This record gives sequence, C-alpha cells and structure tokens, in this order.
Amino acid sequence: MEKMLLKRVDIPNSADIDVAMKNGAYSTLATAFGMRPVDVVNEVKRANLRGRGGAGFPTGLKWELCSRVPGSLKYLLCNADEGEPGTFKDRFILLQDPHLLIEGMIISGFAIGAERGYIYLRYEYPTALVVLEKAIEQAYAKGYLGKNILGKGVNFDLSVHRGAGAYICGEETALIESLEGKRGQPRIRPPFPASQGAWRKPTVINNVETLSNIPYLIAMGADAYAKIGAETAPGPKLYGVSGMVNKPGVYELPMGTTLRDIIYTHCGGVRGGKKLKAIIPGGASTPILTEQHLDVTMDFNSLVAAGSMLGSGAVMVMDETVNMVNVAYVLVRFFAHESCGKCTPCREGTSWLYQVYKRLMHGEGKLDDIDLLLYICDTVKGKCFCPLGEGAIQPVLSSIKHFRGDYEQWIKSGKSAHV
Amino acid sequence: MENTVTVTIDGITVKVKPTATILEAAKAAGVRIPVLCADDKLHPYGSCRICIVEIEKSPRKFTPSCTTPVTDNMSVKTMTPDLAEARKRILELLLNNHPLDCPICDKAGSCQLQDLVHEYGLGPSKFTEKKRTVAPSYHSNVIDREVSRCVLCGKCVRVCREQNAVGELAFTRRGDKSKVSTDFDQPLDCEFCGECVEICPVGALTTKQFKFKGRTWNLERIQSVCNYCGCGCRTSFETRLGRIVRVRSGARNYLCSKGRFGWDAVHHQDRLTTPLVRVSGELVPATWDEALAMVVTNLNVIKNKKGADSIGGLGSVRTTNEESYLFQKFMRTVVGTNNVDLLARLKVPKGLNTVFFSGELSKISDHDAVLVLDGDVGELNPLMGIEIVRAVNRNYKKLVLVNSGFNKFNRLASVVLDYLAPEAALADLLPAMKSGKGGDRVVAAAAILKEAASVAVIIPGRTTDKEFSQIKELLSLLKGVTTYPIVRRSNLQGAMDMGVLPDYYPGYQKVGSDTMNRFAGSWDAILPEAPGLNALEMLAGIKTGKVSALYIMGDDPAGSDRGLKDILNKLEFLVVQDIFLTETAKLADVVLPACSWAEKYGTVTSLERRLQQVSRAEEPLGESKPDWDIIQTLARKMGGPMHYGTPADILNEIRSMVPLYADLAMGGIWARERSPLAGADMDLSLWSDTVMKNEVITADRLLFSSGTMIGRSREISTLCRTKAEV
Ligand SMILES: Cc1cc2nc3c(=O)[nH]c(=O)nc-3n(C[C@H](O)[C@H](O)[C@H](O)COP(=O)(O)O)c2cc1C
Ligand code: SF4
Ligand code: SF4
Ligand code: SF4
Ligand code: SF4
Ligand code: FES
Repeated sequence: MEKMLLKRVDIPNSADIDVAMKNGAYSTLATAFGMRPVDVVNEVKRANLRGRGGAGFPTGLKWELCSRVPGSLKYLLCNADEGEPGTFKDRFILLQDPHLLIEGMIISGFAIGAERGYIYLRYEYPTALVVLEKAIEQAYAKGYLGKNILGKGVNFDLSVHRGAGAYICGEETALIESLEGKRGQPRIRPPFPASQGAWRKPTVINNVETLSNIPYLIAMGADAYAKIGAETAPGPKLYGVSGMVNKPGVYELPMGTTLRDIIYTHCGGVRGGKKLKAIIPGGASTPILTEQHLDVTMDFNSLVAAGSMLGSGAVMVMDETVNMVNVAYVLVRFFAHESCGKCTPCREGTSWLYQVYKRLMHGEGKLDDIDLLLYICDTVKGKCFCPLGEGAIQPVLSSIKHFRGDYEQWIKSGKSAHV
Repeated sequence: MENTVTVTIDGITVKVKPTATILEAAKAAGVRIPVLCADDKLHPYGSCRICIVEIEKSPRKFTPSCTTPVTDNMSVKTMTPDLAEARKRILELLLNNHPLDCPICDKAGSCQLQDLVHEYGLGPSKFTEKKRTVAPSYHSNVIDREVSRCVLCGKCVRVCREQNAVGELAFTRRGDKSKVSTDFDQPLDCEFCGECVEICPVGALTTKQFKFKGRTWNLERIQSVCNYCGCGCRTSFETRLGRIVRVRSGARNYLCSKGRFGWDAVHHQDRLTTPLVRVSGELVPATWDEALAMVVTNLNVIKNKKGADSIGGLGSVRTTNEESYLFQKFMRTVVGTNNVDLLARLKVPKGLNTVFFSGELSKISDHDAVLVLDGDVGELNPLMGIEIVRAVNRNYKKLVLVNSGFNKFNRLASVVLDYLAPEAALADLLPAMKSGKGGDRVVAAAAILKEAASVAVIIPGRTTDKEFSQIKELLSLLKGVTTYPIVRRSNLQGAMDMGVLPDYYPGYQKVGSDTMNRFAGSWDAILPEAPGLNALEMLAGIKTGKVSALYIMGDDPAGSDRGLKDILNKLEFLVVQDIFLTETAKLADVVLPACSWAEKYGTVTSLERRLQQVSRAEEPLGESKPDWDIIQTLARKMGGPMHYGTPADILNEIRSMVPLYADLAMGGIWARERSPLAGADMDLSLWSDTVMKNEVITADRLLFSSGTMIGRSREISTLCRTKAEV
C-alpha cells in the first residue's frame, strides 16, 4: 500500500511548514472549504472512518451528533495523551508531521462548527510539545490558523494543553475535566461530550491518528478511501509493534492486516529465531493472544471475535523465554498506579491484584492465589465506572486463561524475582 | 401535562420524568436501592457502585442506578442473587482497607457501611494482605478526619463545593492512595458548617465536640429551631442523660457553624443561676422573692412619682413569640405605658414588613435569576447564602452580584458589579435597565435581569434612604420579583409580629382609639392612649430625665455599644433579664436569670414568617426560669392577672388577638397580604448616626459572630482564634 499517514515522515525536516507544504500539507483545506460543513461530515460518515483512539467509534456519527447541537461555541479536542503502555504511534505523527494533524483539525473544526481546538498532549512528550508549538506558530504565520483562513471566513484557533502525567486523562471525559483545570477523573455520561463537553459546550474529541486521516479522506473522497483496508473499518492503520521482533516500529498498513503479516512480513519475525509465545494486540488493556491467533486480521470486529480488542493497535510480541506471570505483574502494577481512584472496584481491585502479584513475584505465592486472582477479577468485572478498571483485569484473565502453566510452575518453583 | 416515561422496577410500574435516574424511579416505586455516594443534595457521581441494578435486555450485566437515566419501558431488577453477590463483593472491597474500629467510632450505629455489611451478611474476607492505613488529622478546629475510615464516596468534597461553594476539601493523589484532603494538608480554614461531617456515610469525618460523648443509639432527639439568625433552620438536639451532646439539622437541610456547634453556649460557666440584686453598689445573689419584690417596689415608686411613661421596656430577638407577647402586654397593661421596643430595629432593612416581605428560602432557586445586593449575605444569613449557591450550582440559574469585596459568590456570579456600596451600583444599574446604556457590566446585568421571568432579590440588611427608593424603583422594573431581606437577628420577625413596638399592638395593629378599646377589652386593662417612645427615644429620654427606669429582656445594648453604659448608668432603676451576666446586666439593679433557648418551650417566627416550635432539651439551669414565667410572676405581684400554665396557653391567646396567627399552623407561613401594613410605603426600622453605629463583631468573621450567645460558645471561639493566628 502506498503510505498516506506516514507519507512525509521520512523527508528531512518534515515538521517544518515549508517542507510539509512542498509535500502537500494544507492542500486539502481549499477542497474542504469548498464543501458545506455538513457535506464534510457526510463524507466522513460515508467513508466509515472509525476512531483510532481505542474504541473504534464511527467518527462521522460523533461529528454529526455534535454539529446538530444548536449553539455557536463548540470545541474540538485532539487526544494526544497516548498513555496506553506499548502505544507510540501518535508520537510519530506529532514529531514528524505535526502539520498533518493541524490540517486535519482545521477541517474537522470546520465540519462540526468549532472555532476553538486544543491538543491535549501527554506530559511525557516534551519534544512533541516543542515541535507542536512551533508548528502551530508557523501555521498562524501562514494564515492557516486564526481568523478568516484562506479568506473563506473560516476561523480556527488552536493551542496545546499539556497533561500532568495521568493515563486516565486519555479517557475523553477525564481529559475534559483535566483541560478545565480539574482533577482528572471521568465524568458521568450522559450528557455525552458531543452535547455537553468542555465547559459544558458541545465538544468532539478525536485521536491524533483519526484526525490525521481527515485530509487524505477528504482529498481522495469517501469512495476511494473506503476501498482501503477492512470493510467494517476502512482506511490505513498505524500499528506500533514492540517487543521481541527483529524490526520494531510504527507501520502503516491497511486496517485488517493479519498479525502474521505484521510480525513476520513487516517486522522480520521473532528476534533470535525464538518461538512466539504471546501477543498483546492493542495495548495493555487488550487481552493477550497466542500464536494460534496469528491469522486474525487486525481490525475492530475480528479482534473482538478472537476474544481481544484492537485498542490502539499497539502490538507487543513476546517469545518463549517470557514468564507470563511477570508480564501480568508489570501490567497490573501499571493499572493500580494509574487507577484514578474514583470507583470502588477499580481502586480497590487493582490495588488488591497488585499486592497479590507482588507476593507471587517475591516467591510467596500459593497455588490458591491463582483462583484468588480470578475471584478479584470477577469482583471488579462489569462494575467499574470507566473502561480503565475493566481493562485492568484483562492481562490477569487472559494470562491465566492461556498460560496457567506459567503460574503453577512459578509458584511451585518458589523462585523470587527482583521487582 | 409534562411528558413521562414508564418504568418497571421489580414488577412495580411507575411513570417518571424522562430525566429521572433509575434510583429516582425506584424511589417513586417505593423500592429501596442501597447507596453510599448518592445524595439528594448532590449531583450524581457514581463512585461507590453499591447501587447497581440489572436492566432487562441490556448488554451490560450491571448498571449503576444513581447515574443512569431511565428510558421508556425500561424494566429493572434491583435484587437478584447476582446483585446480592456483586454488592457483597463491593462491600468486601470497601472493607479491605477499612480499620473496622467500630467500637471507638462515633458513627457506629448510624454508619451506612456498617449497616450495609450487616444487611448483606459478609463472611470472612478473602483479603489477607496488609491493610493500608492513613494517619488521622486532628489539627483542624471543630472537625477531625479519621482518614482510614474513608470510603472515598466524595460526598464531603461535593457538598462543600456544590452546596457551599467553599471547596475546602478535595481529593489528592490517585488510585488506592487517593484521599480527601485540604490544600497541602493544612488545617481547615473554611466556614466550619460541619455539613461534610453530616453527609459522610461513615465515621471518617467527626466533630471534636461529640467525640466519645455517646453511642448514637443511646441518644434522645428533640426537634427545635436554631436561634442564631433569622433563617430559622430546624435543629435536632441530641441528648444523653438529659444533657445536649450534639446538634444536627432537623430537616436534613443545612446548618451553619453557629447552628451546629454554637449551642454549647448554654453550658457556659457565665450562665446566671440565681437572681442578683444590687446591695451597696454590688450585685449579690438573692432569692426570687427578694429580687422580684425589689422590682415591684421600684417600678411602683417611679410610676407613682413620675408616671408610667417614665418607664420603658426593651424586648428581645432571642426570646420566643410568647415571651415577646407577654413582655409588651406587661408593659402596656401592668406598667401602663406603650414605651416598648426593640433595639434590633436599628439593624433591619428599611421597609421590612411593609415593602419587603421575604419569600421562602427554598424557592430562591426556582427563580430565573438571583440579584444579590449585599455580598455578605452568606455571612449574615448563612442558609440564604446556601440557597443562592444551590440556585446556581444545582439549578443553573444566573446570579447578578453586587459586592465590593471578593468572596465565594464572585466565583458563581454571571456578572459582578464591583461597587463600594449598593447605592452606587444601583445608580448605574437603574439607567441600564431603562435605556440599555452604561458600562459593559451593568448592561450585562440589566440584560440578565430583564430577560428573567422571575427574579429573587436579596435586600441588604441595612439600607440608606436613597437605596431604599432605588431598590423600590428597581423592583418595579423586574418581572416576577420575590424579595429576600437579610434579617440577621433571630426572632426579630416574631418580636415585631408580637407588637414589641411603641406604636403597634400585636399583629401590626396601629395604636389608636379603636384598637385600644379592643385590646383593652380583651386584656381587661386600662391602656395608655398615646404611642410610646421608640428605643432611641427611650435612650434619649434617659439623658433628659424623661425616662427613669428600664426593663431590658434578653438584650445587651451596653455590650454592643460601650457608649451606652454611661447613659444606662443615669437610670434610677434598671432591671435586666438574661441568661448571662452581660455588660448591661452588670449595670442593673436587679438581674433576673432566664433559662436558655434549649431549656424552654415556645414558638418563633423566622424571616420567612414561618411559625416554628422551640422545644426543651434540658432542664433549666440552677434557678433560672423561662422569660414568660418570670414576666407573669412579676405581673401577678404587680396586680396584673396573668395565669398561664404553659407557653401553649399564651399562644392560644395570641391566636385570638392576632389575626395573622389565628389559624397559622405550626410550620406554616403567614401570608403577607394579610398584614395591615402590607404594601404601605413606610419604614419600621430605626436609624441612628450614633447608637450602635457599627455592627458589633464578636468574631473576626461575621459568619462566626452573633453577639451575646455565640460569643460564649467554646467551639465557635476556637474558630475565631484560628483566624487571629494567621
Ligand atoms: C483509560 C483510557 C485511556 C485512554 N487513552 C487514550 C489515549 O491516550 N489516546 C486516545 O486517543 N484515546 C484514548 N482513550 C479513548 C478515548 O476515551 C476516546 O475514545 C478517544 O479519544 C476518541 O477518539 P477516536 O474516536 O478518534 O478514537 C482512552 C480511553 C480510556 C478508557
Ligand atoms: S474505573 Fe473507576 S477508578 Fe478506575 S480509572 Fe475509571 S473511574 Fe477511575
Ligand atoms: S465544615 Fe463546611 S465549609 Fe468546612 S470543609 Fe466541611 S463542608 Fe466545607
Ligand atoms: S470523608 Fe466521608 S464523605 Fe468524604 S469521601 Fe470519605 S467517606 Fe465520603
Ligand atoms: S443559617 Fe441561621 S438559622 Fe441556620 S443554622 Fe445558621 S444561624 Fe442558625
Ligand atoms: S450510589 Fe450509585 S454509585 Fe454510589
């Protein structure tokens, strides 16, 4: 497939506006502004673009909901919090092609009627902050941001809001709270952000990658776009592959490429010729898969059918040397640390899970602890306020499901790992 | 008709508003769903997850009922074996790190966590890891935080922010390290209302005042009314072995710091326990007979020598309606003068009870907009302040604020008019209302007020003549106006209603020949014809020798204005009836010990004109007696026929004499239209450029100040000290 999202990333100085413009940046603005906003929304709807932040919600539908709410003050937020362990695809665009994102946001803002945008940036991306702010400054200087863009009467202001280092602030309503200067905790829905979001105004939140698809989608038209990738979720997809493969990195492939293709064709297979043991297909909160799932296609629906989720498309590959108890321990530690603490099951459940794993890692486990872990997961399951808590139990459940042997062996060995 | 949706809860079908939550629908169906973090006072939050239910045909197994809106034809099950198990599991999680120190927890017995664990019958926990403990915080005044007992429901954080607009409490840290804290864990520096303690479902927030004072199941509860301002909050005295150990809101509505913690003044060591008489310049204890005989003799001598009009009576805003009524009746029928008044009239808005009548406080938030003409409203009438916050935070109404300083209302206001005095603000606002012209702020304010179909207007506690006319003009330009005059003094309304006024009999019946005959007939007495001296005229009369004796019941003018000491010293005879040896009492020839608010029965009338019942929670201290009983004993000794068995007998007489009270039910409000003075463009307040010119502040914050009583509350005085140290 010809690269779209990553078309410019290898060009030297691609974050500079002149370089980017020479290679097509901002060329779709005129096309978009030549359409009615509602037509832009319809185009996105027809293309069946689904959000790349994790949930796969149809972007056009979200936009339509927001654009239909009366009122002139609306917000467009870009979710650049990218906090899910294993995920680093958005960073690639933020660092190498910020103008793609900015162009996407201008068009999106035009479509939904928002004249104010924020990029909510992960705290731990200090370089991206510098790059983005520079890029925004350049875009203002060229008249792509601000008032009366291209003389077409379109207004759009954009700035970066830096997060404070909490994973939960990637969840859209917690992101809004944080943006408003409040404690990062998810909000009750309804009302949904599309009707009452930031400062209780209609708000659309999209992932960096989602917004970066917009210029290309509008440029090529929904029909052409929909021909790329999986039928249920068309378009290109960035897969961020890490772990024990020969060539880890961010790969732009059609949505629905098989895991086998990703790992063996594109990433050069498992490092050192070792045997593949486990794959986390979409970031820390997606259930672990095994080599028997290699032929699953990486798109929203197929992964759900296979018992996992596409999530952010962050593929983590583990070989036969990995102890899955350790893997689950590390992930559970992450979730216990990142639980916002609002709701009982997630706050207390992740904390309990973490304490049990700590014991296991210290060689103080009992075989009964495996059932205890399942008991705790069952306690948490289906009762959390937001998906973080529900996601937190996935590494536990799936590692025990596929690798109970690892647990038994580890516990019986009485070994202690330095953690 | 409003559109409704049909919901079935455990087989019971109800129709509810489409915006209702499942929890509300269940309530309507009479089905109880357990909750921890939900509260009628607060926006839904959904943190504890104990309220989960099962919805038929839902993709989710469990749904929280407190945050989920109903949909048409929804069918909900609130109790299934799976739900029972799920709730048990949540409780197990909540207990994982809970200290379970119920034996020494003040909340035990009324703890929602304890009750739920009991209800769901938890067995041994599977949790065997080490419990997390967090150090308690005892360094705030009045309130302790036992942090380890906290279930992180967030109700304290939310009540302080949503209801009080104070925001003193917040969560810090996250995950299992989350805790409720203050800024940088400093001691509380807030309104100290204790609403956070009240709303906490567990024993994580407790008061120092109640610590280890009793088990909740051993307490007796007596419903009464707060006597610290005109709002008239309902209180519940909680007693143990006949002594008050705690006061809580009687209506689950609100209490401010004074109402919740200030009751301990009744246990203050300065309480008078015997009558005192002046012997060779010193006040010495005496028997009731001795003291009353001295009063009778002196009043009779002065009356014979200089006439009844050389005697004056100053009534009280702290006594009951029955006592105020008897006081003026005593002055009029037994002493024979109309010289009876309230110094508190110096501290009321012009036009109160003529032009301005208060609406119901709970209805402030029903108005489209609230116009606050005195930014101190929250300090002066705390509940009124809370209702304004509720209007904004709960009902999303617009607030236009006139405030020269900065306080919590500034953060809530849609427009702030930052003027030194209401007069200047109104001088700009009025033209903006009429012409739409003026500065940005007044124009914005005028736009909000003009657009509103109804406006609640908070009238300053004290207004100049200019402001009085400006406000009247403004009201004529607004639609759907309800006024809310600030009335700081507790039973001022009742005392005025009862005719503690030199020119009005009870019920605002003007002193004149026709009314005189009617009252004289009913009271079986000869009444003085001419209106009496008002409070200021009485004070002036002392100087000129016109007034020789004063009978002061439950007021401390010398304490409020030191300059009055010299004047009072000029009197031939001064009787003071009070619960403390006040500055005024120290000047008296006879001091009669009254019993406190908590030691008697009677009624009061709040600024809403609501008749409320005061009840006895403790026996009168020492030899002290209720004011009404003192007055009638004295009256009998002076030949007046007063024979009341209980305050209820007096109330019956009031009902027969005062049409406003004739059929006024307890808890009811008398209708403004029925007052003879309703709508009259006149002013019942007093104005002086010298007497009690400045508000006397017994604390460094108006909120903690209310004069004689609150100055003697140990709890409240700790609050004043904190601020002094800063
Ligand atoms: C705990 C949690 C963390 C999340 N973190 C991110 C994130 O870092 N970046 C992101 O784009 N979406 C994240 N999401 C998903 C967002 O809530 C939201 O669905 C997304 O930003 C919507 O954009 P999209 O429709 O373009 O995917 C997270 C969701 C949850 C529950
Ligand atoms: S599941 Fe609950 S505690 Fe966990 S992050 Fe979401 S709201 Fe916070
Ligand atoms: S006492 Fe009142 S003002 Fe102070 S923290 Fe508690 S709720 Fe807030
Ligand atoms: S202190 Fe009480 S009210 Fe506040 S969060 Fe904890 S349990 Fe809830
Ligand atoms: S607001 Fe007034 S009536 Fe209510 S508790 Fe406070 S002082 Fe008492
Ligand atoms: S009561 Fe519903 S979640 Fe707490």
